[in-house]
Amino acid sequence: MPGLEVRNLTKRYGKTVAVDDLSFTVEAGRVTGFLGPNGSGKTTTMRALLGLLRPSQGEALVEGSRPVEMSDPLRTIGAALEATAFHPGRSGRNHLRTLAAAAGISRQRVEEVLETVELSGAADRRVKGYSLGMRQRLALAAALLGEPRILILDEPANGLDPQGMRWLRDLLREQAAGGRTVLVSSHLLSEIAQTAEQLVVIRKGKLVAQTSLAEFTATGPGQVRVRAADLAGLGEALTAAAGTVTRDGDGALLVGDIDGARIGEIALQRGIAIHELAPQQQSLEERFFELMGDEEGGAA
Amino acid sequence: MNLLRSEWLKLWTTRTTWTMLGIALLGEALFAGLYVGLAPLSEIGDIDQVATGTGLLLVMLLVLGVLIATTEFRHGTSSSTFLATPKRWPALLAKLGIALAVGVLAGLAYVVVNAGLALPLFEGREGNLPATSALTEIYAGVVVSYALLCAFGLGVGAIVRNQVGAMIAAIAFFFVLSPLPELLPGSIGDYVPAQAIGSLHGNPEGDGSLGQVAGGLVLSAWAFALFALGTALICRRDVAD
Repeated sequence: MPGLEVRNLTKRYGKTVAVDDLSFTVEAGRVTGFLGPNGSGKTTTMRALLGLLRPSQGEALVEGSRPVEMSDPLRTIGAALEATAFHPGRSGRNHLRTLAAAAGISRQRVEEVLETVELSGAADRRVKGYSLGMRQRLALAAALLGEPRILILDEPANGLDPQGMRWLRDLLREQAAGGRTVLVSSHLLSEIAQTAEQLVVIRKGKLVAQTSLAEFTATGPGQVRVRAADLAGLGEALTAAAGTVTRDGDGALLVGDIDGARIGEIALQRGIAIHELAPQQQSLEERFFELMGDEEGGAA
Repeated sequence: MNLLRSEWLKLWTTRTTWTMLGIALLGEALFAGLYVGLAPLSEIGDIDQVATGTGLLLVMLLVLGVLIATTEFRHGTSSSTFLATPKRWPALLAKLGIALAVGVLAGLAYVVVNAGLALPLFEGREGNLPATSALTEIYAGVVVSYALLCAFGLGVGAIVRNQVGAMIAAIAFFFVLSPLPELLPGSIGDYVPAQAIGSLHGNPEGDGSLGQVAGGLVLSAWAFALFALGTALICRRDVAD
């Protein structure tokens, strides 16, 4: 049974469709990145998985059952939704204590998670004086409080400094390695690329891809960079063979839709000497922009 | 029990609760010292009015009840709360419990201030006090009214959710509806909340003509009906942010 499953989930707000017939699963044991531009429905989907909003259609399931039916919620699922959802006048420690009390979690555990997120020193200060990074850490501490089997984190890297980012990556990998289900949303592609093994990509509330990170970058129609003695002649021949040929600024051809082996064969037939033939690895970012179309990709 | 502890912690780990109750108790002490102690006797009225105080705490507890519900929505902590209690209504039941408890606690603090300051001052000037049993009845009515009014505020807050909106709604409910009874035929007016409080306090200013117990039951009915409606709405609605 997958840790998290979304089945034909649709959420409408009036006429606006925030999530549109979305289905995917999130398995335990690895970090799953939830990728999409701002406003693509990531947060809405996560809130449905947490039982905070009811789907217009379809369902969001936690370990196979509806979130409302969880018998021990904080030990099943931990969530960090936004770094602003604290009472500004309450201290970080007291925020965690109120949550711990509700779930019958010991005060000892509150101290442990404060230690884990490196917030012990500031725990008695009121949240109002916290930086964004500190709030993120506090939200994470709340998520970890019940040592849950599932973690749902919405943009947890926002506001963290580079050191904090590395700390977060290690924490997430550690949690996944311990057999937990980890779903992390982000619009920061580089952040996801360094942490997640699995990807769920959505756009305008619809699923674009559910795949492993390796496949996601590899399946793109990659280009091949070619240098040859007779560039113009080779270009013509490749275009005739239904390739898309562009010239890069460096005096080489970038060829799409034809793979390297075929390019070599065509060059041989024409008797053109090849000087360089290099498949171009497409980055996650390029692939992402390609899927999203320029306007959304640029905004993300 | 866990949820009650959680809600009790929430109530006392922000300064708002302390400040509001502190100011109101200080107000009652000032009322005792300056008004009961110094104003012309003809203006002060009788012992019933002295014993029921200024009504400042009454308003504070109404507002505090509203805050117990709406603060969570205002600051987004409702997400964490309902994550811990996905069925939601147990969390609201716990809030009702602590609203009633803080009302009783504030009521007892009030009785200490009133009986310790206002009564001796009044006795010193007027010379006689009614029987202890009569005073006990008034104080009991005051304590119960505080607890119920806090629950009333919670119900309004749960329905409206917007903090400012709920506060306006709760206060308007009392002060706009208060003059209404005179326009209503027969004794229907006795059943609006403000008149029910009057009855519960033993009708010090001729407000309400029900008995204390009946007044208490009417106010309870209002508070629990609003609470039930608010809870039903919260269980159905999305927790937006």
